[in-house]
Amino acid sequence: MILQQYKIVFVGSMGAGKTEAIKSLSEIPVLATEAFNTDSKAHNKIQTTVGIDYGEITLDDGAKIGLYGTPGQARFDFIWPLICKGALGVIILIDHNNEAPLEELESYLNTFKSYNKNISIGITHIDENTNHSTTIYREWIIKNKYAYPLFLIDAREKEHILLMIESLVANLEVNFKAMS
Amino acid sequence: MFNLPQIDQRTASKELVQIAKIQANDILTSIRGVDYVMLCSTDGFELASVHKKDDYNSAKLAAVSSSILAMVGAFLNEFQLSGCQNITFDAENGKAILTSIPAPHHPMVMVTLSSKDVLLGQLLYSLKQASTAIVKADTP
Repeated sequence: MILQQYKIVFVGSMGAGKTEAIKSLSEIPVLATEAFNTDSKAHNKIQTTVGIDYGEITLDDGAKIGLYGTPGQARFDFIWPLICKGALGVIILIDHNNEAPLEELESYLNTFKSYNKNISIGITHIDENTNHSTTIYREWIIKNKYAYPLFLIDAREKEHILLMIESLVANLEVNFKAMS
Repeated sequence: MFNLPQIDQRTASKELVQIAKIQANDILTSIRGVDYVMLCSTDGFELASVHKKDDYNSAKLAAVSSSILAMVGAFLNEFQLSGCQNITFDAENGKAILTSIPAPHHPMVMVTLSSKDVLLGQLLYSLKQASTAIVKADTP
């Protein structure tokens, strides 16, 4: 058991389901910092996260993980490095409905890999957009020779998010064993 | 912190922003030591600002202010305290005050920067008056 500290950060595009993912997993009432969304061009949802969301989950081995959500909009980028400090890993969620989901993914990845190397990627809302094939993400990962775990998920499904967290923990353990 | 508006028009109208800007300008001109007053939406967009000093990145200030107010609101909720009205930051060389404006359709944040020796009671009273006037203007 290598884990004693316990922080995973959810990042990604507006409306991708970061708050929803934390709500689906958390054992405690989620501390949410949502405000009325006036930017209906960016996304039509009524509320948007402007601060930090916080929830908690206890893994099977007893490790308690803090689940931190960030605002997705670039104007809140001041908060990103602060939240990522000391995190076990970062989960990037991308809304498949975005006009240019690959560009979004690339942008978030380029930003967050400088804060944390342990990254897992989740593509959400895959049932709402049949114009883009979901194979574009796998092809993009292969083309760029990345080794990040990639999941097509429903952010409301606890098992989907748990799988992503387990991928981060497994990656940490592999790296730990490789070093020791 | 706020009741959610159920309206099509999400951004504040020009008329409402103008009323809010007049309130901000009243504070800037009537209270000695106030250097800068900005209004922004609760999701971090600048709506209007008036100032004597303008050394600030308003867009960034709007995002940070909305974020802080939301986080402090969440913090207070943990103690069953609701409706955070304002937050005062007392720095060595000045003060910053974030005021919540719980307008029913277009909730806002007013950001006020002042010198260290501003009369705080007078400023807080004026901010409360301004907030009430903006809320009233946004109430059908």
